[in-house]
Amino acid sequence: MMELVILGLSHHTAPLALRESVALSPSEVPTALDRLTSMGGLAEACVLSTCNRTEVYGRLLPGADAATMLGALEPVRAGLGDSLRRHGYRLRGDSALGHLFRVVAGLDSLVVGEHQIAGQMSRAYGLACSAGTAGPLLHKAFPRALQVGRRVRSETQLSRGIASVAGAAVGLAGRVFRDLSTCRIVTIGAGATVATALRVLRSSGASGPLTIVNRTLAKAQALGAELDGSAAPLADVARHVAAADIVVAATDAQAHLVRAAEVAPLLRGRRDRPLLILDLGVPRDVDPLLRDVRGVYLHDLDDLTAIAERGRQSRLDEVPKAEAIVATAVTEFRRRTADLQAKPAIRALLDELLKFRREAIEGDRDLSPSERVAAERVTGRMVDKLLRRLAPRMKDGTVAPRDLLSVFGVESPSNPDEQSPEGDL
Amino acid sequence: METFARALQAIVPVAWTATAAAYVVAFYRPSAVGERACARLAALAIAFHVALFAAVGLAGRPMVASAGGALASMGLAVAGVHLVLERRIGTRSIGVFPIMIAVVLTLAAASVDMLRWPTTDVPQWSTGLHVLGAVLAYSGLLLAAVYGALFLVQRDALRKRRFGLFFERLPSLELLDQFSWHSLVAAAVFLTFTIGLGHRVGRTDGLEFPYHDPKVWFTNLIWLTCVVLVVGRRVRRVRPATSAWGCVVLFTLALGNMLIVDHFSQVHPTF
Repeated sequence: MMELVILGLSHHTAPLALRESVALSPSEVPTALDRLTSMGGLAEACVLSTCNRTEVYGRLLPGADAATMLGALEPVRAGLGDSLRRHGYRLRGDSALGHLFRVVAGLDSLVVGEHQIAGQMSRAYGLACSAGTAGPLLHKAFPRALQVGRRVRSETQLSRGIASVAGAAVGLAGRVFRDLSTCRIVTIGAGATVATALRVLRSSGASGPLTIVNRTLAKAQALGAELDGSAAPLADVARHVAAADIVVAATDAQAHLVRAAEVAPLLRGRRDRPLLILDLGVPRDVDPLLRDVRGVYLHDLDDLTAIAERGRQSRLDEVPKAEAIVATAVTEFRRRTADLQAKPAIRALLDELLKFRREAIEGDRDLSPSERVAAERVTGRMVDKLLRRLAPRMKDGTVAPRDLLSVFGVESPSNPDEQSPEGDL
Repeated sequence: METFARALQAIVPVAWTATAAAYVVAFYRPSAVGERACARLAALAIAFHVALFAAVGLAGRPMVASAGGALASMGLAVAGVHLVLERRIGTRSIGVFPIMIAVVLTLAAASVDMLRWPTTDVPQWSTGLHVLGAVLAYSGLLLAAVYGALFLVQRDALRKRRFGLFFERLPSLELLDQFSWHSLVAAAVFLTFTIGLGHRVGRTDGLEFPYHDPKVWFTNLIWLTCVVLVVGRRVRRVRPATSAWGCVVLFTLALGNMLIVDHFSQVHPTF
């Protein structure tokens, strides 16, 4: 029987630095696929590589094992094979299939229920198709996995709500402003936290003018160049905040950089335009008194964490439902695959039985025409009954089709490539 | 035709109740299946509602001839306008509120019975337009109040950091403010038209216009408040939160006008 195998590492088994060092770019994936199928012992292969996981999905050729795969991957990226050996996991059969379905559904993601993984998996499958390394098993498993992912997302609340701090920042902006693309953004600070928040805001459609206010202007200019923004000195912070729609602050300053006494008078002019301030600094960069100014919505890191935590919890409550969908899908997939794989063997068995029957009836010359008709009718029923009993057992694997056919001296019609590999994974 | 109209009169609130139930489910547990159910049930309810108006009209009692008809029209206007807006914003997260109001209005309409009015009471064109204008104006006020109240709920969630169900499901403050503002402007326009036409209708009847009638006074007060609010927003002297409160107060006044002031009026009691 065709069996899916997986070799990979993820955020569950490897630290971020290691995951980053082995992540393959889309341009490297075709080389990896080529090596895996030409010398890695895989009949079919697909590689998924994201910031949180690098996984090889495939079908092993008889005699091949994990060592063959790892050996083939080593030249693609130095240390990849070794990392997979030391920090990786190896799955096969139903557990591999279940893992594939869980990954696409977002159940195995760092932020449970995130939906980018389905797109990444779809692209990985597309690359395997383009490279010609996806065969009968992957052509069945991947589209089914994407279907299961869609089903989990539509039938459960696993992907609903906000489940990350960055998502909470975007969620808050979306609860205040109708169209983020017209919002003027001001950041106070140009560090990693601000850069991450800005990237998330930009990718969520906040494409309006950006001003980065920072003590070190060169650092602000560098971030501005990356995210299409301008730099401004810290001395002008109150004026920039008063002119902004969204303010993101995250510095390591020990005192408030945005003081209510300075900003509040400047805000009197803006009557109907709200101001959203996201203070991600610890200690806080924005005077909490600004919260009392009309039209100002000030939120700190605790608020964002509370939103994300609430979303995470409600997603976790949906995990059992999603897992049940995945388990059902695995069983169903296995049954369907067994059905499809047993069909040629059942056909071969039927042909053989009909051949026996024909030989037996035609070999008996003493039969009158009416007796011949009766014999055909009776033996026809016998063949039918025999097949009705054997076919379900051949489909569910209770009776191995190959063994049964060998009793009748018939060679198994299945492709030798589709047989189970003997080697260890 | 009367039997058919009566059957529809009973079916319409049921159809809106089923739609509201689907919207309640979609509010608590949003899903693609739930959203499709909302859309289909709403389309069905609208179809029944339009069929009801056609049947009542064919029975010789146009919608404007009875208080029941006016209430049913308000229900259709409120639900219909919201469904159009909903298609524009692409979310059914707040539909539960206007649809619930449609349920209440259609239930009230069915209890008043549109077919009870005698066919001889069919009003003139100008009176009909006056009633239609009033229905649309009050529908506008109702929608402005609903969106205004939702704006206040979302604003409260953001200010007091209550990140619960309403925070998650309600759309942005700006969107709710825009909906409330546009509904208020529409209400002001229809109210101006209705009051103007009412004045003309009152004069053409050959009688002296009852300027001192409490209903006329109260309706003019509502109109004035509405216009002040619209102008105040336009010149940016009124903040969105004040405007939202204003919409809620205005609709409360309009409700009081229909339910309380009506009893003291000599002009034309609604019920």
